[in-house]
Amino acid sequence: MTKLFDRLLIKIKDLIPLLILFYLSLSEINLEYNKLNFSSTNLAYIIIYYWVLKNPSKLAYGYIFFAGVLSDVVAGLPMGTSALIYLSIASVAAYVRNVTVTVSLFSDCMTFLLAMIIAFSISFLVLIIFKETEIFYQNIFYNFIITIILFPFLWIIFELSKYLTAQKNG
Amino acid sequence: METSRDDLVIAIRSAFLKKGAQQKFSLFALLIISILLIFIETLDTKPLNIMRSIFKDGIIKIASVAQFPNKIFFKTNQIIDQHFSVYKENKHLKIELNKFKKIDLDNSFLQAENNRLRIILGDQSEQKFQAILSKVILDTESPYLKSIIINKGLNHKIRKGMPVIFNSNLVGLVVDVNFLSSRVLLLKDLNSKIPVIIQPEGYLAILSGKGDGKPILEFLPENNNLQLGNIIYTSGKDGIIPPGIAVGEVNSLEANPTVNLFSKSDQLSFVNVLTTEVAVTSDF
Repeated sequence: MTKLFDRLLIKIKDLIPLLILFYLSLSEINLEYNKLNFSSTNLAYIIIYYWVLKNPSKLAYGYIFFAGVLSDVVAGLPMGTSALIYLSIASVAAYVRNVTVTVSLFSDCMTFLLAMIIAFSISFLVLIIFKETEIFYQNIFYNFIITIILFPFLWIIFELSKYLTAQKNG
Repeated sequence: METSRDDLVIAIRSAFLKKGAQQKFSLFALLIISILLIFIETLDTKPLNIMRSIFKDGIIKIASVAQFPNKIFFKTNQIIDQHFSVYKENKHLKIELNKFKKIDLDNSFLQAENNRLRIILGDQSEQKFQAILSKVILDTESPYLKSIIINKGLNHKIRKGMPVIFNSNLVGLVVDVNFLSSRVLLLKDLNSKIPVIIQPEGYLAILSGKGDGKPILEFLPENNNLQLGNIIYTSGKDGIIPPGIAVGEVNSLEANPTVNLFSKSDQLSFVNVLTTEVAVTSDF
């Protein structure tokens, strides 16, 4: 019984990044502080990048695609836009994983910055070409900056949790 | 040089085309599917629209459940905030109440006078709009779109372009309709443009969303005599939104004055959708 419970616990722990990704895609929280808006979907970018880079088995590409479609429906974007953004971030992470040997916070931050530039460029292109809507660039720029700033903090938290889990498992 | 190019090709192949141990799809295949999906979204055919509506309705239902913890959190936060400011608010409301009592008296006099003058002019055309009460099931303010989703759709005779009000104040317009849900574009969204009239001077203008909470007034006449606190109503010039719905008040006197909206988008639980089935009763 204890073994079964332990196995179940491990399975749930493995699913945590995926569950967070789906939750963020569906809930779309918008935090406002002194005219600075930050959308929770940008946290999804960090989660996708980190887990595809470090442990892609925990975040299958099919699920990332599906989370993107969910996010589009909730946010009112053309279906496929967020999926394309999420997958482009995953692509950069997968490429970086294949070409890098040594891992450091700095190198991950730099490559994440590149992934963000690609992701935001894709979102602009799709929205301008397919949706023909006006875009509030200032708001998106704030989101971009806050996401970049948040990345190292979440990176440290994820690494710490990984380290603690490894220690617990001996 | 040759080796480094080979390495690059291998890395790209490995990242995009190979399926990992736990992956059922390659990144490349999913990227192509995403692009195809965006193209399909632009197609406007009946079977596709039906499928899209059913799919979106399903996801919106799931999302409304997923947003439940957020709603509880923000609601609790609001209640705590309100409790702390209740004394100050009470004092302020008493002053406001006296002010509004006086306005109400003036209003009823003006309304009676208006009706009398209409009869004298022989203009008895009256627009009747049916209001459909709807529940706000999702409040999504992404960096790209400021909108809410309501629980009424095509099945409840809701169509694109219909105005949405809360407490007699304009909230926004319906921009996307599914069978059981609709998306309402809020006035503060960058893509929101509403023809308005500013009273008491009667200036016509366009209320344009800025994306950050306070919309602005555009195309005002030059050398206008706008005052802080002037009330803004819909003008009905577009033929879709009925005239006379309160929108907000003038908040600043810049080149493009900002507007304080009466409807607070974060306070919406229920709204009314005005159907544009116009019943004209005219003597002519």
